[in-house]
Amino acid sequence: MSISIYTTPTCGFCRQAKAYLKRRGMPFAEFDVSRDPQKAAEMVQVSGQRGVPVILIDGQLVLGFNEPMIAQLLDQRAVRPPRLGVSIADSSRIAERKASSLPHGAYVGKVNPGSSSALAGVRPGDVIIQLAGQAIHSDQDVHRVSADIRYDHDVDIVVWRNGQTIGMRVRF
Amino acid sequence: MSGEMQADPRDVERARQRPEAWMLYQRLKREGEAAGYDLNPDVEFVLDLMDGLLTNEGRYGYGSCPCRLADGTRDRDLDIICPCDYRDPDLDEYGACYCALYVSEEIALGHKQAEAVPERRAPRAAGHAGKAPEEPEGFTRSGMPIWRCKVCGYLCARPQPPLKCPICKADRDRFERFP
Repeated sequence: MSISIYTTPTCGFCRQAKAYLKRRGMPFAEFDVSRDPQKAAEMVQVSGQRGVPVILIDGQLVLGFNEPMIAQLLDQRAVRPPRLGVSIADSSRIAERKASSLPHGAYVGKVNPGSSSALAGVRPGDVIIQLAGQAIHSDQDVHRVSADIRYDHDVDIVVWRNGQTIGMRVRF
Repeated sequence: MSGEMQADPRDVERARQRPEAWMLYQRLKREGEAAGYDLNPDVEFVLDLMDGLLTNEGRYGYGSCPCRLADGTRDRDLDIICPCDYRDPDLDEYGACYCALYVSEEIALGHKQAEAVPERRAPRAAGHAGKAPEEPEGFTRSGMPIWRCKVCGYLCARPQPPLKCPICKADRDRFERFP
């Protein structure tokens, strides 16, 4: 995550905004627009105003110390891990029900359109047998492994599809 | 300190540690109260803003808003010299001015917290205040123009605004034509 904050050293809300980011443990780049004409021009261009603070969180513009909005942007990115975007079930249970032979893994029942998995090419009916280099024996394994996935990282996924093993790269 | 009232020991300490900021704070508080304005009840926050105003005063020659990027020329910064032209509408709408030096009574009494105020000043707006537009309105029946001090609200009818506001000592260019 990249956070920039345009400030003046004289502004109380700038101080509060910086204190808030520190409290949340978020590193940020600070630009003192009263001393840096280039950054000052950039701030006016980006924000359309000369009031500070102006905060950019991954390109998202926050005008002033809008704490609820900053909290929301940070929460969206930092706290909630990225999602695969699939509905999964234990493949052995599905195999039993369908009376067919499936490898041990996580059976993909549904792929959310536009999700990371959909973009990577995961399809309903696939059985996830490997994720991020770890063997997947059940749906529980997917939940466990995907909790460690972070945004802006590629993760390799291996699925079984009609007897074939297919590797794909999922972008989060 | 005066002997009439028991001074808060924290205030005594603040006055000792930050004498200039403290004096400016006391003056703005006094003037504000006289003109019906409340300052932010968070004294440390306000003293930081006082430092900001003093810094800008030293840097530009006038106390422009501590939370706005000043142009550096008085003409172009007239509208953001504290108290800025946007104080009253922002107080009405958001209960605080942009930098939260001036706040509503509700916030002053601690019933509500000051929150971020959206910037209402247009990005290129500069110096549009102060220049008196020659409109037919705003004259007394005797034909004298009426001037309003934007700092304290003082009204007077005379050919030009006074060099200094007799009430709050604001400079002539802080006056506007009224209504």
